[in-house]
Amino acid sequence: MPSLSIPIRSVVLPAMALVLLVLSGTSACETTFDAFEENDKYFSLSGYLDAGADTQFVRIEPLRDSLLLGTTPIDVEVTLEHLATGTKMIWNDSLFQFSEGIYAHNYWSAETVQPRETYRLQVKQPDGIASTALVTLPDTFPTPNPPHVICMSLRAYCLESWVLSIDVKGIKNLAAATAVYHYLDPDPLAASKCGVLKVPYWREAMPTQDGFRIRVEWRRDLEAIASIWTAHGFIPFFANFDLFVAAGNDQWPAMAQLDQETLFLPDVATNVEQGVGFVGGVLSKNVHVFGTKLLCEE
Amino acid sequence: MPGPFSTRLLSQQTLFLVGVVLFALPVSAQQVTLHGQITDTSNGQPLQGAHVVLENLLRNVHGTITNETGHYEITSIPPGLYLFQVTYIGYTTHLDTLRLGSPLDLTIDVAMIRSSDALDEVVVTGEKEGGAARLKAGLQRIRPRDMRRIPTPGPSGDLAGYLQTLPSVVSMGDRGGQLFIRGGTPSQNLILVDGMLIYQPFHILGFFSAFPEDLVSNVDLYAGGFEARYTGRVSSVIDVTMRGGNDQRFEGSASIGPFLTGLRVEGPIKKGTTSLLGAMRTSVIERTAPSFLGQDLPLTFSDWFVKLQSNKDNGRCSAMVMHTYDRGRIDVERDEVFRWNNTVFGGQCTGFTPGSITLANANGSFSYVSNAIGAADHPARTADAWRLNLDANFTYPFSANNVKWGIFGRADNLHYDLQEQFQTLRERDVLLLEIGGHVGMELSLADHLHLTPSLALTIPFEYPIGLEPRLRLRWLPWGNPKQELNAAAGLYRQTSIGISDERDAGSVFTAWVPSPFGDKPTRALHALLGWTQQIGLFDVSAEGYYKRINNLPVPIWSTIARFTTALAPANGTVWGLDTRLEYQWKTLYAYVGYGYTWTQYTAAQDNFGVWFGDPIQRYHPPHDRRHQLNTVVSWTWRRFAASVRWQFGSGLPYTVPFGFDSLIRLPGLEESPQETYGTPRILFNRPYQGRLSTYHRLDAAIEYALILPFASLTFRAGALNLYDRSNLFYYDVFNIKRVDQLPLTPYLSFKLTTL
Repeated sequence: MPSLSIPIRSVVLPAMALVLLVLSGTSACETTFDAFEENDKYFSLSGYLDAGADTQFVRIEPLRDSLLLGTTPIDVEVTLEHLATGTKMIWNDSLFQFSEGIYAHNYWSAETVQPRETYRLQVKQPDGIASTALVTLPDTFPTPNPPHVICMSLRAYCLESWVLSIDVKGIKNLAAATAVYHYLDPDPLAASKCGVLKVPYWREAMPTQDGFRIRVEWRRDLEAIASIWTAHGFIPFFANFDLFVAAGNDQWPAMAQLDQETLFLPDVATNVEQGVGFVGGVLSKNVHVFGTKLLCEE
Repeated sequence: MPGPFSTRLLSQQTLFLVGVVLFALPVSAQQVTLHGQITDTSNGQPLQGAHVVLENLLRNVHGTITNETGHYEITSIPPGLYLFQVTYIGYTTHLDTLRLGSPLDLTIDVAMIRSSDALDEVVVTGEKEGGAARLKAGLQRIRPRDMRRIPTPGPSGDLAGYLQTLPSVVSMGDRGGQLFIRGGTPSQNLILVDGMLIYQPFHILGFFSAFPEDLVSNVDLYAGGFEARYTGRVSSVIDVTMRGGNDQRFEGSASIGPFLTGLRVEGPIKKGTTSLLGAMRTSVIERTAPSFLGQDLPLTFSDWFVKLQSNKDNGRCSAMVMHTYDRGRIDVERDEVFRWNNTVFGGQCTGFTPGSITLANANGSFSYVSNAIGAADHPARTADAWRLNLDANFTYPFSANNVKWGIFGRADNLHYDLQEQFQTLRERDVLLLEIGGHVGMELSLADHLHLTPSLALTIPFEYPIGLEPRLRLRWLPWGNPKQELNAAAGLYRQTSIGISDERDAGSVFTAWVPSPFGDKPTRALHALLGWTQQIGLFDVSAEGYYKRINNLPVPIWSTIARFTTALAPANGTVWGLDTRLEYQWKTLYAYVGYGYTWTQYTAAQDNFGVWFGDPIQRYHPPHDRRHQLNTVVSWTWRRFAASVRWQFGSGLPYTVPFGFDSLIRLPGLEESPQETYGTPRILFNRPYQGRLSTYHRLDAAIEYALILPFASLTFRAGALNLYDRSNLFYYDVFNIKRVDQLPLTPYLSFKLTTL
């Protein structure tokens, strides 16, 4: 079909070649690409204010940094404002190293916070960009009275009930209930001679008329400690047992009802404006139940 | 209410189809059947697509086209005197006069003589074989010459390079060897080499595969709508026929270039009947890249192939073994080494059963694949699979129609040790047994309408019985193949699937596992409708398609930055348009292809409701390249050949993060900022809502063949990414780092071929 092929050769193919040239000529050799989405969330705040503690710690991270923070200082001012009085406390930065190459910025203050009071924790850059969390501390509650315990031992002579019940009264939201066992580390090569085992009991806590009942299965926990060491031919010396309990404020989300995937969603459990994370408000107490304090404990 | 794949519903369709097949069996008496094989006289290779025509004095014409093994068959020929004509592009036409009558079953084999003069001058009329624009309901026949037109950095063309010029095929980048065909994932492609399954034949450097131009006879690519003789995959079929060795004389070639080196030897074992072909290639890019690219490219691959082929009076038998090996790091700076290898061996025989006009094909094969990822000497995760396959397929002609049927038996062994990557799949060794068969017809209703109904029956021991009815249709409204309407539809099922972590574009690790959703295998529905048109020297095609794929395993979405994930079921919907324009005048060839694809996954996940207010999320998976444009121009003049390719692709979806943090878990106050680092999170809103930047690249190559007394020496010089565009391969959000595809890459390769 020569009559058709000549105009095709003379028109179409040069046109195609021209298209190729134009397309290649207009292309930029360098392309920029920003994978991140701009939004109004700037910092992650994570931790809690504890009216029962003498020092407060909160994790502060800029969101647009890499997954694992380096040692770069964060150019921010972190303040805690007591809303009732307008008093502002400036917090200190402290770079914590958790393992090789794993660092995090924890901001802290030795000022105490008071029950029932409301505070504003603010993280502010020099250019005015800020993330804030409003935290109200829970009301105080009476220190629980532990039952009188004669012995806590796996020896046959100890006839104490294997389960201890401790009532925590006067709280609406149970933030924590942890059995804390101290023992002497029997390993002669261990750097620290004090061992500690923390066993959470808050999930199993039973609501009562004015609080919660914590049932501690201490014998099961001691067996867990013993099993670690008997396999190595050592027998640890169990020293004492405390119960750490904490009341949570009204903002405290119903943590026990959320699975981990849901809990970690950015907008599900948060009280941070222009940021992500959660800063809780708790009042904690340490209840001594049994034993004597070891010298190696703080 | 029965679902769309209800077996009750299908059983009615099955009975109908089986009835049609049984009652349509022919009764032909005193008519002649002519069959045989058309080969190339110079090397004994079968010629697929040769036209075989019988014409009597009354100008009554009977004709057919040879199949992939060069066989033809013409039935129901009234006795009489005929002009017998065989034509094939580039070969001298074979003419003979036949008096047909006795015997009633006649075999005529023809060895065609190559005519190099005829090649450049031939003006193609009538029905053409091959060519990008000759798209017939998803089916495209690919010839070695099609591969050669694509500028690839090896000494010759390659199927991998060619496939990436097609509007139906999406590759994620120039590394990894992952091809997505019309919305399907790589593990949903059935890849056959001489009828044997090969799991992962595309090399880690995306321009190359185990199918170089000089070893391939032809390739049937079904982008969808494939017949019932193909079972076990839900997206597409790449059916590669490798050529046998030269059964007339010894010949060979050696090649070297900055990307790979190769060697091929072939020749007769018994002249005229039995040949042996052996070829091997190995990459050198890992060693050459630092000097000629100025950067590390730690990618290594190799393959080797041996084929023994024997022609007998009534057919052909072959045995082959193929092995591939790939190793490398997709991201140079990431300490993750991917490794995979394939081994395939087996044999097949094709021919007419003695005393019958039935064309029979029998295959026996063993296929193995091994995948690993991790440190070079201690892979963290491994997966391997093997398949033992036996099948037999038959074609029984009657009138102008064919009945096709076949049976198969398979044993699939899947072993994987995935550590914690997929929470419900850790370590397992499982054997899946399956038997089945297929039956179908090729019906010509008048000269204008051709129907191919078929039905696959699969009987796996661990899953429910599957019935997969399929239909292909070809309508020539004006009675000639210059205008064609093609359509196809069918149901498809896949019981063993390849899973990979789609969240990570830099990961090509694939583990073959049984369906993770109990007795619910992956299922698909295809529907295609297309038109092809010849206008002078132009071929134009346009085809719309729809695929629905159910029970796809996808990773669940979580903000917790971790390698581990669980799998959730998703349903995929794919719509698309595939348009192609092809022009050929003598040795000048031009092609433009544009593809539009819309792929969406619908997944349900428990916490989607809390997160987004809707438990069901719809998103475009990472291979949803919406627009793709390819142009190829090639020209041969005497001993010179030149080719140019430009490709454009719109951005691929990715999940847009807005930041990272490490969250202290407050429940129970079990963690505190001063005691623990917390749990790393990657913060994003919805999966795959962003798009990576667009991609375009120009490649070019020029070739010159120097004729020496004993051989031809071919120089091939070219460049990839001619205007040195920084094309994004993927973005590593964890390290805030982009990984680019290859920069401007010039190359020069040599190939010595014996004359």
